[in-house]
Amino acid sequence: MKNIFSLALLILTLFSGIAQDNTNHNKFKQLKEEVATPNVYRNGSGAPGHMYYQNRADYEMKITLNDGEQKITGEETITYHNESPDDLEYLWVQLDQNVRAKTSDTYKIQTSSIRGASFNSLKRLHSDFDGGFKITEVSLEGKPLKHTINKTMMRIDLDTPLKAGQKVNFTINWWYNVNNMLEIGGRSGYEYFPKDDNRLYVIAQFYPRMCVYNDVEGWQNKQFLGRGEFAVPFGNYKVSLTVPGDHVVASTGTLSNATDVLTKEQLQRLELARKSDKEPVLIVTQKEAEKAEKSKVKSLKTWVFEAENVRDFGWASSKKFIWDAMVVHQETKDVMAMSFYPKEGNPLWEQYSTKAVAQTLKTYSSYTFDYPYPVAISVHAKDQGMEYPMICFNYGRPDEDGTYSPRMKYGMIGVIIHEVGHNYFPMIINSDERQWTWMDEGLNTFLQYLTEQTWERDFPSRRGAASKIVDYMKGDKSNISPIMTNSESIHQFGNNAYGKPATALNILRETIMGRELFDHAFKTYAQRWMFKHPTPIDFFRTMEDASAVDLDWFWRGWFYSTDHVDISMDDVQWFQVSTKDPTIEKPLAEAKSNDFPEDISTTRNKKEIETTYAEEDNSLYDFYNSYNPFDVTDKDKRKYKRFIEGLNASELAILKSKFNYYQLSFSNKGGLVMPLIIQFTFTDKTTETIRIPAEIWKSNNYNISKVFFFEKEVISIELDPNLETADTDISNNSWPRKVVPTRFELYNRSKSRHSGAANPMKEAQKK
Amino acid sequence: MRTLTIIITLASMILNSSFVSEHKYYVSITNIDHKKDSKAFEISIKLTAHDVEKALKPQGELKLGSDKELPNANQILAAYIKNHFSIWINNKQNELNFVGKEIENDESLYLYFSSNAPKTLDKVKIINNILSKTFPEQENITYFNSGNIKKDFIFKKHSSIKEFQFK
Ligand SMILES: [Zn+2]
Repeated sequence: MKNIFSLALLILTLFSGIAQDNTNHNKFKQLKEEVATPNVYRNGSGAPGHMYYQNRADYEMKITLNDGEQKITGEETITYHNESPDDLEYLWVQLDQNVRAKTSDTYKIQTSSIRGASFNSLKRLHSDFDGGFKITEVSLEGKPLKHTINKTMMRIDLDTPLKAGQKVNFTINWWYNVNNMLEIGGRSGYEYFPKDDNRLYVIAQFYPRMCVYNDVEGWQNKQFLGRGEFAVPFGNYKVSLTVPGDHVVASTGTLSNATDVLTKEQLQRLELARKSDKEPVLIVTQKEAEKAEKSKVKSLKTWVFEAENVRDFGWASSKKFIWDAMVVHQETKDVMAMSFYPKEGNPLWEQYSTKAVAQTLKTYSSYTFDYPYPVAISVHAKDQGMEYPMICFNYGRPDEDGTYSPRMKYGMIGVIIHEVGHNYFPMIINSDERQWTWMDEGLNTFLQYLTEQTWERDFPSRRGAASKIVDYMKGDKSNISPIMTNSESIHQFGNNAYGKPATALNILRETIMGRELFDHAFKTYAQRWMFKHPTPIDFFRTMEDASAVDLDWFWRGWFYSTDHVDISMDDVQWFQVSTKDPTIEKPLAEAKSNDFPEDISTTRNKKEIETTYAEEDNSLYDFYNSYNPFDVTDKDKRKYKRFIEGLNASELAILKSKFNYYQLSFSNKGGLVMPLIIQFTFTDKTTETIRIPAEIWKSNNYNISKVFFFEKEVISIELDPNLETADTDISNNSWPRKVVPTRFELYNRSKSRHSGAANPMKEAQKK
Repeated sequence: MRTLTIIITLASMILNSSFVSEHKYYVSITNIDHKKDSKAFEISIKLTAHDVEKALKPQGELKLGSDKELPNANQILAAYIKNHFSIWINNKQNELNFVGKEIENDESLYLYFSSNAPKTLDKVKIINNILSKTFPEQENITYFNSGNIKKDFIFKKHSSIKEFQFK
C-alpha cells in the first residue's frame, strides 16, 4: 500500500514538473530579458544615445555602360570616414554581384530535386552566364591594397589601422556582365525588346559598397544570399554615367550637367514641370522616344549625377524612355516626382505613375517627415518592384493593344506606392535589412496601405486590414515563424515580413493605441531615426516611450511568437437584482421551481403507481404535506420591511432600477491577448459597444469573466463586430451563436454579382 | 522589394539567386466544409491569379478577369484543379463539380467546387498538389471543417497526400 502511494506521489511530482517550470510565462511579462540593455549608443527611450555614431562612405565613380556587350565597367574612389570610437585594422566591402557568380553559395544552398524538374529549369541549371564582379584593382594612392574576397564580401587590410575620427581614401576598379533579368532573374539587369532591338537597363548593386560598421553588429558582413537585402552606410555620391549617346538616363541624385546632355527644349520643359503641381509635363514625349528607338548612334554621352546623404545609388538607361515630371510642394521643400517608361508601359504609365509617386510623397511625409531629397523617380521594369534612394523600378505593362485588367492597374499603382515608399523605410530610416526584413517591408507595407486608401476609396489593398491576415495566422505553426526571425530563415516571406507586421501596426493604430497616440509615436520614431540606423528595439521602445502605452505584451505576442487571436465568448448569464420583496420573489421562485422539467420516473410513476400508501391511508399526512414554502408569511413581510428600512437612498435606487446584469465569460484559445470589443444589441434594436483594453487578461491570460449592466434587456452580443482583431474563429464570437457563412456560401449568394471576366474599359471602347 | 511575377517555372531551384521577392513564397488556401444536412462538401480554393496564369500558360493565355479572358478559362481551371486536388471517402474518389470563380483586384483568384458527401465521415483522404509541379516551393494549406471537427494540413510537393479517420 505504501509503495503504491509513493509511486503515485512520484508520478504526481513528475507531472507537475512538466506542467510548470516555475518561471514567469505571463503574457504581460516585460520584454527586458529579450532585448538589449539600453546604453550610450541607444537609450532606454528608444532614441539614439548621447554617444551614438555612424560611419560614412563617400563615392566618386566613373561608370561606362557597354550596350553592345551588356557590360558595365567602373572606377570608384571611396572615402571612408571612421566616426566610431574604435580603430579599424580592416574594412569590409560588399560585392553583391557575386551572388550571380558561378560559384555562388546561393546556388549551392538551394534545395532542389530532379523529380518533376521542367526543361526550362534544367536549361537554367546549365546556364553559362558569367556573372559576378571582376575586380581589376584595389589600391591606395597608387599602391595595391591587400584584399581577400570571401564570396559576397571583400576584406581590405590596411597597412596601419584607420584611427577613430580619421578617414581613408582608396580605389577599386571592376567590371561585370549585366544579366538579362527576364531570363535569369535579378533585382537589376536589362530587358531586351526584340521588336526594335533595344534594351532597357535598370542598374543597381553595380559597384563595391562599404559595409555598415556599428555598435550592434561590428562589421555587418553577413553574406548576401538573396533574401535579406541590404545594410548600407550613408554618404555623398558623385557618379558619371557614360552611356550610348541616344540613351536617356534616370538616376539617384541631381543631374549636374543637364546643359550638356539635354536639349534646349527638354530643359525648357523641365522648367515647366517645376511649376506644374497638378499634371505631369512630358520632358521626352512618346513620339520622340519612338524616334530614338530607331536611331543607331555610335557616340557616347556622359551624364553626371550628385546625391547627398544617401545609402545607395541606382540608375536606369535606355533610348526607349519617355520621361515626365511634376512638382510636389512640401512645407520645407519642393520635390520633383518623375517617371521613365517605354511606350510599352502606356497608357497606364502616362496616366498613373508620376501621380502615384506624388501621392506617396504627400501621404508618407504626413506620417514621418518632409521628403528630404530633390527627386523621386519611378522607372518601368517588367515583372518587378525594387527600391533605391530616389529611384525605384516597377512593373505594370498593359497588353499590346493598350487595354489592361483592373488587376494590372491596381497592382501597378500599389507597387509604385510601395517602392517609392521605401525611400522612407529603409533608405532614410536606415534599418538593417540583412537582419530584419520586417523593419522596412512591414513598416512600408503599413504606410502603403494608408496611402492606397487615400488614392481611392476601397482601393483593393492586398494587405493591411486585420481580416486579411487571418488565413495566415490560423495555419499550422510548423509553417510560421515569429516576425522577429532573421530574413533568411523566414517561412512564408510575404505574410511574415510584409503582411503580419503591417496588420499589427494597423491594429495598434486603430484598436490598441488609437490614431492620435499611434501617429505621434510613429512620427517620433521616424524623426528620431531619420538618416540613422535603428534596430527593432529602438522602434519598440519609442512607440511606448512617446505614448505611455505599455506595449510589451503586444510585441511579445505579435512579434516574438506565432500565437494567433482566437477569443471565444463561452458563456453569457443574465441576472436581475432580487427585490427581496416576498410578494414578488416568492411567486417567481415558485414559478421557476414548477418550470423545472419533471423527472422521467415521476412522469411514468404517475401512471403506473395508481395509489400510494399515503393516498390510501391519510393518517400518514402531517403538517409538512400541506406546507407550501412559497407562501408569503407575516414573518417574510416583517423581514422585508426591516431590510428596506436599513437601505440608504442610493441602495434603494439600485433596488428599484430593475437593471439587467450580464456576466460574460471569455477564453483565450489562440494565445494572443487582445482587447475585448463587445457590442450589445437590446430588445429595442439599439446597440452599445464597449471597448476593454487587453490588460483585462493581465493576471489570468486564458479565462476571464466580466459583468455588464444595462437598464435595457440585451437580445444579442457580438465580440469584435468590425473584425478589428484578426480573430481567426468568429463562430465563437456571438451570443446567441451565429452561423458564419463560408466564402463558398457568400459566393453562392451573390453569384450574379461577379461575371469573372468583366473589363468595363474594353466594353466601353467597343461601343 | 516586391515582385509580381518572377521568372519562374522550376526557377527558384537555380534562379532565386538574387531575384527574391515577397512573392517568392507560394501559398494557396483551401477550405473544405462538410455540410451534413445537405450531404455535400463545399470547397473554396484561394490562389494567386498570376501564378495560375503562369502554370497554365501551355494551355493558353488565361488573362483572368480581363475582357480577353480565354472563353474556356473555366474549363481549363476546373480540369486543372480536378487533376491536382481530390477528396477520397473510404478509398473512393469523390467527383468535384465546378461552381464558379471570383477574381479580385488584389490578385486573389477564388475557385469554388462542390461534391456529394456522406452525412457521416469515416476514412477521408485528400490529395492536393496544386501548382507544386510549377513551383516546387508551393505550399497548399487546407482547412477541413466538419461540424465541430476542424483540421488543417499543409501539402507540399513531396507530401501531397493526407489521410485521416473520423470516429
Ligand atoms: Zn518592399
